[in-house]
Amino acid sequence: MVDKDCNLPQIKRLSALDGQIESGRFGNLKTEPGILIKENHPLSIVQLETRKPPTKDFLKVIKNLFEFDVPLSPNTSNVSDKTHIIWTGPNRWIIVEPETRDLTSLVKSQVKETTVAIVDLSHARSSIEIDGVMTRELLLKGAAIDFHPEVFLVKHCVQTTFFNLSALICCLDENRFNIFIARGFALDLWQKVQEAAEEFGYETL
Amino acid sequence: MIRIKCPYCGLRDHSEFNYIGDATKIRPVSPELANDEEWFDYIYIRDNPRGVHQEYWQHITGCRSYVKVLRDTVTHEVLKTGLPSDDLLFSYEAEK
Repeated sequence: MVDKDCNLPQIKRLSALDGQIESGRFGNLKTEPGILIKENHPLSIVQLETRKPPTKDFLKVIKNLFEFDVPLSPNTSNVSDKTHIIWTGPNRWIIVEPETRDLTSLVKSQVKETTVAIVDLSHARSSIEIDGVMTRELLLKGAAIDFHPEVFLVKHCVQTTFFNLSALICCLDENRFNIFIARGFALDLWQKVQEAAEEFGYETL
Repeated sequence: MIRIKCPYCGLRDHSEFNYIGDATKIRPVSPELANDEEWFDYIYIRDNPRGVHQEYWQHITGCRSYVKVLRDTVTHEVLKTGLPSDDLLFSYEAEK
Protein backbone atom coordinates (compact mmCIF):
# COMPACT_ATOMS: atom_id res chain seq x y z
CA MET A 1 0.00 0.00 0.00
CA VAL A 2 1.19 3.51 -0.78
CA ASP A 3 -0.04 5.81 1.94
CA LYS A 4 2.82 8.24 2.08
CA ASP A 5 1.87 11.94 1.99
CA CYS A 6 -1.82 11.11 1.55
CA ASN A 7 -3.12 12.29 4.88
CA LEU A 8 -6.70 13.34 5.39
CA PRO A 9 -7.63 16.88 4.41
CA GLN A 10 -8.17 19.27 7.32
CA ILE A 11 -11.76 20.17 6.37
CA LYS A 12 -14.29 18.12 8.31
CA ARG A 13 -16.66 16.23 6.02
CA LEU A 14 -20.25 17.04 6.95
CA SER A 15 -23.04 14.54 6.45
CA ALA A 16 -26.11 15.58 4.47
CA LEU A 17 -28.11 13.80 7.21
CA ASP A 18 -26.39 15.61 10.06
CA GLY A 19 -28.95 16.13 12.84
CA GLN A 20 -31.69 14.28 10.94
CA ILE A 21 -31.17 10.73 12.19
CA GLU A 22 -32.97 9.67 15.33
CA SER A 23 -31.69 6.35 16.68
CA GLY A 24 -34.20 3.81 17.93
CA ARG A 25 -36.95 1.31 17.08
CA PHE A 26 -39.79 2.48 14.86
CA GLY A 27 -42.70 1.20 12.78
CA ASN A 28 -44.17 -2.22 13.50
CA LEU A 29 -43.13 -3.00 17.06
CA LYS A 30 -44.92 -6.38 17.24
CA THR A 31 -42.00 -8.28 15.73
CA GLU A 32 -38.24 -8.09 15.77
CA PRO A 33 -37.10 -5.30 13.43
CA GLY A 34 -36.90 -6.62 9.88
CA ILE A 35 -34.76 -3.71 8.75
CA LEU A 36 -31.72 -1.91 10.09
CA ILE A 37 -30.89 1.45 8.53
CA LYS A 38 -27.74 3.46 9.00
CA GLU A 39 -25.74 6.06 7.17
CA ASN A 40 -22.23 5.23 6.00
CA HIS A 41 -20.26 8.34 6.81
CA PRO A 42 -17.66 9.64 6.22
CA LEU A 43 -16.68 7.93 2.99
CA SER A 44 -13.97 8.60 0.46
CA ILE A 45 -15.44 8.17 -3.01
CA VAL A 46 -13.32 8.56 -6.13
CA GLN A 47 -14.56 8.14 -9.68
CA LEU A 48 -12.23 6.84 -12.37
CA GLU A 49 -13.06 7.07 -16.04
CA THR A 50 -10.87 5.95 -18.91
CA ARG A 51 -11.65 7.28 -22.38
CA LYS A 52 -11.01 3.90 -23.95
CA PRO A 53 -11.01 0.37 -22.52
CA PRO A 54 -8.53 0.35 -19.64
CA THR A 55 -4.91 -0.36 -20.42
CA LYS A 56 -2.90 -3.13 -18.76
CA ASP A 57 -0.85 -0.46 -16.96
CA PHE A 58 -3.98 1.11 -15.47
CA LEU A 59 -5.30 -2.25 -14.31
CA LYS A 60 -1.92 -3.08 -12.79
CA VAL A 61 -1.73 0.21 -10.90
CA ILE A 62 -5.19 -0.29 -9.40
CA LYS A 63 -4.37 -3.85 -8.44
CA ASN A 64 -1.17 -2.71 -6.73
CA LEU A 65 -3.05 0.00 -4.84
CA PHE A 66 -6.01 -2.03 -3.62
CA GLU A 67 -4.83 -5.63 -4.02
CA PHE A 68 -7.71 -6.59 -6.28
CA ASP A 69 -8.90 -5.80 -9.81
CA VAL A 70 -11.42 -3.29 -11.11
CA PRO A 71 -14.61 -5.13 -12.14
CA LEU A 72 -14.84 -5.21 -15.92
CA SER A 73 -18.35 -6.70 -16.20
CA PRO A 74 -21.40 -4.41 -16.01
CA ASN A 75 -23.40 -4.40 -12.77
CA THR A 76 -20.61 -5.92 -10.71
CA SER A 77 -18.24 -4.80 -7.99
CA ASN A 78 -15.15 -6.10 -6.23
CA VAL A 79 -14.77 -5.70 -2.53
CA SER A 80 -12.20 -6.23 0.20
CA ASP A 81 -12.49 -5.56 3.94
CA LYS A 82 -11.82 -1.89 3.37
CA THR A 83 -12.33 -0.95 -0.27
CA HIS A 84 -15.23 -1.35 -2.67
CA ILE A 85 -14.74 -0.78 -6.41
CA ILE A 86 -18.01 -0.55 -8.31
CA TRP A 87 -18.68 -0.59 -12.07
CA THR A 88 -20.81 2.46 -12.88
CA GLY A 89 -20.64 2.54 -16.67
CA PRO A 90 -18.48 1.56 -19.62
CA ASN A 91 -14.87 2.29 -18.59
CA ARG A 92 -16.09 4.01 -15.40
CA TRP A 93 -15.84 2.97 -11.76
CA ILE A 94 -16.10 4.41 -8.29
CA ILE A 95 -13.77 3.47 -5.46
CA VAL A 96 -15.35 3.67 -2.01
CA GLU A 97 -13.61 3.48 1.35
CA PRO A 98 -14.39 4.56 4.90
CA GLU A 99 -12.48 7.83 5.11
CA THR A 100 -9.10 7.15 6.69
CA ARG A 101 -6.79 8.72 4.11
CA ASP A 102 -6.83 11.15 1.20
CA LEU A 103 -7.89 8.60 -1.39
CA THR A 104 -8.07 11.06 -4.31
CA SER A 105 -4.48 12.21 -3.85
CA LEU A 106 -3.36 8.62 -3.46
CA VAL A 107 -5.00 7.55 -6.71
CA LYS A 108 -3.80 10.67 -8.55
CA SER A 109 -0.25 10.05 -7.38
CA GLN A 110 -0.28 6.53 -8.78
CA VAL A 111 -2.38 6.75 -11.96
CA LYS A 112 -0.20 8.69 -14.37
CA GLU A 113 -2.15 8.15 -17.58
CA THR A 114 -3.53 11.42 -18.94
CA THR A 115 -6.54 9.68 -20.46
CA VAL A 116 -7.92 8.73 -17.02
CA ALA A 117 -10.27 11.23 -15.37
CA ILE A 118 -10.06 11.09 -11.57
CA VAL A 119 -12.84 12.91 -9.72
CA ASP A 120 -13.39 13.16 -5.98
CA LEU A 121 -17.09 12.47 -5.29
CA SER A 122 -16.81 12.22 -1.49
CA HIS A 123 -18.78 15.43 -0.93
CA ALA A 124 -21.19 14.66 -3.77
CA ARG A 125 -22.64 11.34 -2.63
CA SER A 126 -24.38 10.01 0.44
CA SER A 127 -24.63 6.36 1.34
CA ILE A 128 -27.31 4.55 3.29
CA GLU A 129 -26.87 0.96 4.38
CA ILE A 130 -29.89 -1.32 4.79
CA ASP A 131 -29.65 -4.67 6.51
CA GLY A 132 -32.10 -7.25 7.82
CA VAL A 133 -34.28 -10.11 6.65
CA MET A 134 -36.82 -7.86 4.92
CA THR A 135 -34.28 -5.76 3.00
CA ARG A 136 -34.99 -7.28 -0.41
CA GLU A 137 -38.75 -6.80 0.13
CA LEU A 138 -38.12 -3.16 0.93
CA LEU A 139 -35.97 -2.64 -2.16
CA LEU A 140 -38.70 -4.14 -4.35
CA LYS A 141 -41.02 -1.34 -3.28
CA GLY A 142 -38.75 1.29 -4.79
CA ALA A 143 -37.15 -0.16 -7.92
CA ALA A 144 -38.23 -2.21 -10.94
CA ILE A 145 -35.31 -4.59 -10.48
CA ASP A 146 -35.29 -8.31 -9.71
CA PHE A 147 -33.85 -8.52 -6.17
CA HIS A 148 -34.30 -12.29 -5.81
CA PRO A 149 -31.23 -13.72 -4.01
CA GLU A 150 -30.53 -16.07 -6.92
CA VAL A 151 -30.52 -13.17 -9.38
CA PHE A 152 -29.20 -10.23 -7.37
CA LEU A 153 -26.08 -11.84 -5.93
CA VAL A 154 -23.54 -10.54 -3.46
CA LYS A 155 -21.25 -7.95 -5.15
CA HIS A 156 -23.94 -7.32 -7.77
CA CYS A 157 -24.83 -3.63 -8.22
CA VAL A 158 -27.30 -1.63 -10.30
CA GLN A 159 -27.87 1.99 -11.11
CA THR A 160 -31.56 2.63 -11.33
CA THR A 161 -34.37 4.80 -10.04
CA PHE A 162 -35.17 4.03 -6.41
CA PHE A 163 -38.35 5.77 -5.21
CA ASN A 164 -37.89 8.00 -8.28
CA LEU A 165 -34.38 8.98 -7.21
CA SER A 166 -31.31 8.09 -9.24
CA ALA A 167 -29.43 5.61 -7.09
CA LEU A 168 -26.63 3.07 -7.14
CA ILE A 169 -27.60 -0.06 -5.21
CA CYS A 170 -24.93 -2.60 -4.23
CA CYS A 171 -25.37 -5.94 -2.51
CA LEU A 172 -22.71 -6.35 0.19
CA ASP A 173 -24.01 -9.48 1.85
CA GLU A 174 -27.07 -11.74 1.61
CA ASN A 175 -29.41 -9.10 3.05
CA ARG A 176 -27.10 -6.11 3.34
CA PHE A 177 -27.20 -3.39 0.70
CA ASN A 178 -25.56 -0.03 0.20
CA ILE A 179 -27.44 2.72 -1.59
CA PHE A 180 -25.48 5.64 -3.00
CA ILE A 181 -27.34 8.79 -3.92
CA ALA A 182 -26.59 12.40 -4.84
CA ARG A 183 -26.03 14.27 -1.59
CA GLY A 184 -28.94 16.66 -2.08
CA PHE A 185 -31.41 13.76 -2.15
CA ALA A 186 -30.06 12.01 0.96
CA LEU A 187 -32.78 13.20 3.33
CA ASP A 188 -35.52 12.34 0.83
CA LEU A 189 -34.09 8.83 0.44
CA TRP A 190 -33.74 8.41 4.21
CA GLN A 191 -37.40 9.32 4.70
CA LYS A 192 -38.58 7.13 1.81
CA VAL A 193 -36.69 4.15 3.22
CA GLN A 194 -38.11 4.77 6.69
CA GLU A 195 -41.64 4.98 5.30
CA ALA A 196 -41.17 1.76 3.30
CA ALA A 197 -39.71 -0.03 6.34
CA GLU A 198 -42.55 0.84 8.72
CA GLU A 199 -44.57 -2.32 8.07
CA PHE A 200 -41.53 -4.52 8.78
CA GLY A 201 -40.43 -2.62 11.88
CA TYR A 202 -37.03 -0.95 11.67
CA GLU A 203 -34.16 0.21 13.73
CA THR A 204 -31.98 3.21 12.92
CA LEU A 205 -28.39 3.28 14.08
CA MET B 1 -44.95 -0.82 -19.83
CA ILE B 2 -42.03 -0.32 -22.23
CA ARG B 3 -38.81 -2.07 -21.29
CA ILE B 4 -35.55 -1.30 -23.05
CA LYS B 5 -32.52 -3.56 -23.06
CA CYS B 6 -29.44 -1.46 -22.33
CA PRO B 7 -26.42 -3.13 -24.04
CA TYR B 8 -24.54 -2.81 -20.76
CA CYS B 9 -27.02 -3.00 -17.87
CA GLY B 10 -29.65 -5.34 -19.32
CA LEU B 11 -33.43 -5.02 -19.45
CA ARG B 12 -34.73 -1.93 -17.65
CA ASP B 13 -37.91 0.09 -17.37
CA HIS B 14 -38.12 2.88 -19.97
CA SER B 15 -38.45 5.46 -17.16
CA GLU B 16 -34.69 5.00 -16.64
CA PHE B 17 -34.08 6.31 -20.16
CA ASN B 18 -34.33 9.69 -21.85
CA TYR B 19 -35.42 9.93 -25.46
CA ILE B 20 -32.70 11.68 -27.45
CA GLY B 21 -33.97 11.68 -31.03
CA ASP B 22 -34.12 10.29 -34.52
CA ALA B 23 -31.18 7.97 -35.22
CA THR B 24 -31.62 7.99 -38.99
CA LYS B 25 -30.28 11.51 -39.54
CA ILE B 26 -26.67 11.64 -40.71
CA ARG B 27 -24.53 14.74 -40.22
CA PRO B 28 -23.18 16.13 -43.51
CA VAL B 29 -20.01 14.22 -44.36
CA SER B 30 -18.10 17.39 -45.28
CA PRO B 31 -19.51 20.09 -42.96
CA GLU B 32 -17.52 22.86 -44.63
CA LEU B 33 -18.97 21.95 -48.04
CA ALA B 34 -22.60 21.45 -46.93
CA ASN B 35 -25.02 24.16 -47.99
CA ASP B 36 -27.76 25.77 -45.85
CA GLU B 37 -30.41 23.41 -47.17
CA GLU B 38 -28.44 20.33 -46.09
CA TRP B 39 -27.82 21.78 -42.62
CA PHE B 40 -31.49 22.78 -42.26
CA ASP B 41 -32.53 19.27 -43.20
CA TYR B 42 -30.06 17.68 -40.76
CA ILE B 43 -31.00 19.92 -37.84
CA TYR B 44 -34.73 20.51 -38.22
CA ILE B 45 -36.46 18.13 -40.59
CA ARG B 46 -37.79 14.95 -39.03
CA ASP B 47 -40.06 12.26 -40.44
CA ASN B 48 -42.95 11.03 -38.35
CA PRO B 49 -43.05 7.41 -39.51
CA ARG B 50 -45.83 4.98 -38.75
CA GLY B 51 -44.10 1.72 -37.88
CA VAL B 52 -40.49 0.75 -37.37
CA HIS B 53 -38.18 3.60 -36.39
CA GLN B 54 -34.56 3.87 -35.22
CA GLU B 55 -34.05 6.17 -32.26
CA TYR B 56 -31.36 7.24 -29.81
CA TRP B 57 -32.11 6.93 -26.12
CA GLN B 58 -29.84 7.52 -23.14
CA HIS B 59 -29.75 5.31 -20.04
CA ILE B 60 -29.86 8.44 -17.95
CA THR B 61 -30.34 6.96 -14.46
CA GLY B 62 -28.19 3.92 -15.22
CA CYS B 63 -24.82 3.76 -16.94
CA ARG B 64 -25.56 7.00 -18.88
CA SER B 65 -24.67 5.33 -22.19
CA TYR B 66 -26.40 6.13 -25.45
CA VAL B 67 -28.49 3.27 -26.80
CA LYS B 68 -29.93 2.79 -30.26
CA VAL B 69 -33.48 1.48 -30.16
CA LEU B 70 -35.58 0.04 -32.97
CA ARG B 71 -39.16 0.77 -31.95
CA ASP B 72 -42.55 0.34 -33.59
CA THR B 73 -44.22 3.75 -33.28
CA VAL B 74 -47.70 2.20 -33.56
CA THR B 75 -47.44 -0.53 -30.92
CA HIS B 76 -44.48 0.94 -28.95
CA GLU B 77 -42.92 -2.51 -29.10
CA VAL B 78 -39.14 -2.35 -28.74
CA LEU B 79 -37.93 -4.65 -31.50
CA LYS B 80 -34.20 -4.42 -31.01
CA THR B 81 -31.57 -2.42 -29.14
CA GLY B 82 -27.85 -1.96 -29.55
CA LEU B 83 -24.89 0.38 -29.43
CA PRO B 84 -25.16 3.73 -31.27
CA SER B 85 -22.92 2.40 -34.05
CA ASP B 86 -25.17 -0.61 -34.77
CA ASP B 87 -27.45 -0.71 -37.81
CA LEU B 88 -30.48 -2.22 -36.11
CA LEU B 89 -32.83 -2.00 -39.06
CA PHE B 90 -30.46 -4.00 -41.25
CA SER B 91 -29.92 -6.75 -38.65
CA TYR B 92 -33.64 -6.81 -37.75
CA GLU B 93 -34.68 -7.34 -41.36
CA ALA B 94 -31.93 -9.92 -41.88
CA GLU B 95 -33.27 -11.92 -38.91
CA LYS B 96 -36.87 -11.80 -40.09
